[in-house]
Amino acid sequence: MNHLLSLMTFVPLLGALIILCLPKGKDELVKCIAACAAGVPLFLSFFLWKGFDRTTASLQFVEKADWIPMFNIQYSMGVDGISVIMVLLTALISFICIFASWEIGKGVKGYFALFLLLETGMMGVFCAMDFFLFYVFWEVMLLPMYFLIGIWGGPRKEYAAIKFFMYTLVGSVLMLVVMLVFYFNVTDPATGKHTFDLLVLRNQDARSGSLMLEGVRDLCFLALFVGFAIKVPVFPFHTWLPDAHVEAPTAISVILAGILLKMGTYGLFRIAFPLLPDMANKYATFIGVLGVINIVYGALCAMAQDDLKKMVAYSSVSHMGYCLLGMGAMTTAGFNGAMMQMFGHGLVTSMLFLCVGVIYERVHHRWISRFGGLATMVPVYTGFVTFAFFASLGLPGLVGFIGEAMCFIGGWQSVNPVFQKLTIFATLGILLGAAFHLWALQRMFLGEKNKIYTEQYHHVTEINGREIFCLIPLAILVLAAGCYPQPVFDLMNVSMSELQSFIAHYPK
Amino acid sequence: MQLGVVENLSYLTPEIILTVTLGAVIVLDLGGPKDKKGLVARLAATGLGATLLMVILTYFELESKQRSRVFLFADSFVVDPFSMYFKLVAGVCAFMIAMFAAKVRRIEAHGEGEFYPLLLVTTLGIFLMAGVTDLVGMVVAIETLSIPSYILAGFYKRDRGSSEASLKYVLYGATASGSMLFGLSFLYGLAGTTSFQGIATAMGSGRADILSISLMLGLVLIGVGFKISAAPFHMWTPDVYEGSPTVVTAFLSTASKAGGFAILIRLFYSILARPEVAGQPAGQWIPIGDPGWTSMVAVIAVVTMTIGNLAAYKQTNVKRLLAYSSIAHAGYLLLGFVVMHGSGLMAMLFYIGTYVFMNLGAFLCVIAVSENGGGEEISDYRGLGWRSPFLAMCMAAFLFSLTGLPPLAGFVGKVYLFAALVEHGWVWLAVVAALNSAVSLYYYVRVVKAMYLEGIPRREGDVVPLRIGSHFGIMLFLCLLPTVIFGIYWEPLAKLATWSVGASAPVEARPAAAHK
Repeated sequence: MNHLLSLMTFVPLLGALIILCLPKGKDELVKCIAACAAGVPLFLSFFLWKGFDRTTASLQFVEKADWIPMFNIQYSMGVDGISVIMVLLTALISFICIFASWEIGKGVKGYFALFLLLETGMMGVFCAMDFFLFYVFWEVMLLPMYFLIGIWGGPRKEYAAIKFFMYTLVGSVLMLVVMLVFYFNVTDPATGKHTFDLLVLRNQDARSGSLMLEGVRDLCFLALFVGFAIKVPVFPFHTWLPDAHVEAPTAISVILAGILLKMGTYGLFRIAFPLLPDMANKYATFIGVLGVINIVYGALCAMAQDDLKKMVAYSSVSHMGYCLLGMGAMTTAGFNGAMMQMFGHGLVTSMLFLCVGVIYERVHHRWISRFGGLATMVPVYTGFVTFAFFASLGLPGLVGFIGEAMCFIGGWQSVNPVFQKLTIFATLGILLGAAFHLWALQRMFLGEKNKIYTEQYHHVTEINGREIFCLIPLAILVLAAGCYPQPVFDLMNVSMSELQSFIAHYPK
Repeated sequence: MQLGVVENLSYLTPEIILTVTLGAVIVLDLGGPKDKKGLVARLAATGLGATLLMVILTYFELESKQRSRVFLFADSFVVDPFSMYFKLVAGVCAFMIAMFAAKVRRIEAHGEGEFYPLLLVTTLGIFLMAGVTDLVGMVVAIETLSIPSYILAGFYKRDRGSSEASLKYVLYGATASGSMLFGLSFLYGLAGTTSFQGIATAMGSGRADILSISLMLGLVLIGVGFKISAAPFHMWTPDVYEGSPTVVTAFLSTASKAGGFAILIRLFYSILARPEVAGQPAGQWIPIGDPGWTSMVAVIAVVTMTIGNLAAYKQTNVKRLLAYSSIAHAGYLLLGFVVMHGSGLMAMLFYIGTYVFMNLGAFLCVIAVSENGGGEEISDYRGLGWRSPFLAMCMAAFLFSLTGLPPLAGFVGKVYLFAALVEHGWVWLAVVAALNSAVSLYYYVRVVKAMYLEGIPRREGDVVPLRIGSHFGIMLFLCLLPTVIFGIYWEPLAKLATWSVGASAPVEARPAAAHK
């Protein structure tokens, strides 16, 4: 299968085009086509999983073609240990989200067409190995996201949509300038031309001109970091996230938290770190400190929320902080931990947002303080939420624990003495995480029924089959990867240690 | 290379066909059959189509004969790929606008027989602007464009807005032309000749002093800056664009602006710069008698795009919003001018090539909406995404392309501009421009927001469709196609732009011996 990655990327786009061509009023057909178009990448991801060579850090499933020869832009796709997990995750979560949005009321055609376009963008970002192509996919994602939040979102959808759009765009235009700086200062030794090829760009010997100046590299790294940090989101660039997550429809919140946030950390792994390894070392402490701020600040914010969805959104801020801590540590364990945390958080947060969607569809509010004693009314649902909450707070045996623990181990092993202090401080996050999850669980599901608002949820019905169908695969993976994470580590380990030793070659 | 009269004329077929069409349109209007509804428009469009064809053929001829440039009329006019590129752009714009106007009822009511001849004359003016290499010819060409434009701006005679637009345009235009003429007289005084080549030779010899060059430069920049609506000579733009008939606004913001850039590049790169390596005009250029005019233009570019983008925020009228957006785009385009390198010029040409389609498209959407019972305020666009899905989709694509989002042509144009800046050490300028284009998203999105995020119908049955008809639909599609295609595969346009710059660029100073 030579074109596996291209197929995974562009079949959803094809589905979107077919949907656009359908006449009005065929909502069921539209949904089926969308499910098929998102199912194909999921189906193909089995081949990716099976065919992926776990013993090498080099690119696999490579596809290369000239796109714009004049500018030496290439259509270059490939996966390695850094991206393969994200590709698999994207295929799975996108497919699930099609079903999570089955009940979307209005504009079914537009919704699913945009959703599939979004999937193409996400796949492309994780597969692109040419900086220009990466940038195009990165931006292509913004448009459907804007409409999906803006049209199908909650009460403050317009504000949330434009805020998301503006934040990301400001970050990415800076990335564009850095991309051009790299292009003009790197010459491919093989062809003698300027290039956008990410593998050539990380070759430190191919550089010339202003990239040799430390100040320029500093600015480049910071610009890239800001671009990706907005996506992660790293404090203080996180303010778009609660708005976007809360206003977006359920499936889109899942995509946002489950995949889009990972693009920020993926971008750091794929672009910022390998392209500027010396700067990565220089700013490692800075990244670690921001990570700890994320962990603690995110958890404290989550604790203060009464809106369940906002609480989950802030818990994402907190969890992405672990990734930053692991990345800043610059150890193989830390990198593996960050990647594991990206994977685990993708699964867990998807479950959380799906659960929030379930209750919101029934009672049309999300105020934690207005619930109480739900466990007696909807026991199965309570079971799923409890499972997701425990996964999220890092219970051993579930995937959230593995990622967090690896990040701490990585932080502790770091040669940088600051990181041990940071790690100690970061463990506070576990405590706070447990606190806000359990507190929310207690207020919503245990205890007496809330007297004041009881009449509002007389009609709370149990979680239905479609919703369980969405949650089950995630739950199985959370449990499986939590008990036996080795297959996941196998996928990434070689690439991660290669990246770690590459960066270690270039001390600050 | 000098040619005989007959050979001269063969390179001027586009202009000749344009002139013949002009005559035919006037004759038809005066003496044709009584019921000639739409006939004039069809004739004008056909003539423009034929002109376009001849432009393309001449382009090919230049390429096949490996002629980088052909001088006509004692060196006062040049036919080279650079001028052909602008003729192509102007021809496409004029053709599209003739087609739009054919379905605009108010144009018909005010007399097609007056509209089309004026449109053809302005087009001819731009064709001349693209090729002149002589000060006198330049002034004539600019006025050939300007005077009919003033009339076109006030074409709706009883409409106060239109009359106001016309008056403002005339007053500003006359002042700008006057300043420019004054500046050009300095140039003549310095060089003793009106030919660009002669002036370039004189400049190169270093006789001119900095003071007079600066003075001349400032005055000429007023004139050209007015045409391309660069700050601080942009004040006329919003009022004129808002008041004029929308078809005319579309023309002013695309073809007329392209003409302004053609003359700007030709004039400055011919007389105030020389190629670093003689005979390699596509490479680096060196300013002559440098009073720092590149930095000056850089500042103008930054101010222009920032003013355009910031002022657009508060607009409630779509035409006015697009007017400020076109000011901002003049700022982006000037970036390529600052670089003093073939890659910068190529980026400008490429950008113009993409800009005309997206901007024409956006204005066409405005026309289609207002012709079918809608208004020109942003609030009139509420719910358009449901009322007229195709139109709204096109409008959104044009606006996002103007913002510079991939995979649309506007993005690629911006990348080329920024790339030229980064390549030649203007990184700060690239950063400013990139941030500018990011914030510009905010006001473009306001229209998109009105179309898609507001006025969402509760039920399917609530939708009041707005049908634009097949004519506008096809025209929209014709604008959409290049906007999307050049965003995905732009190699052909990039090659064309490179060739148009690389083969000839503007005139370079020739040693005196070459003058015969």
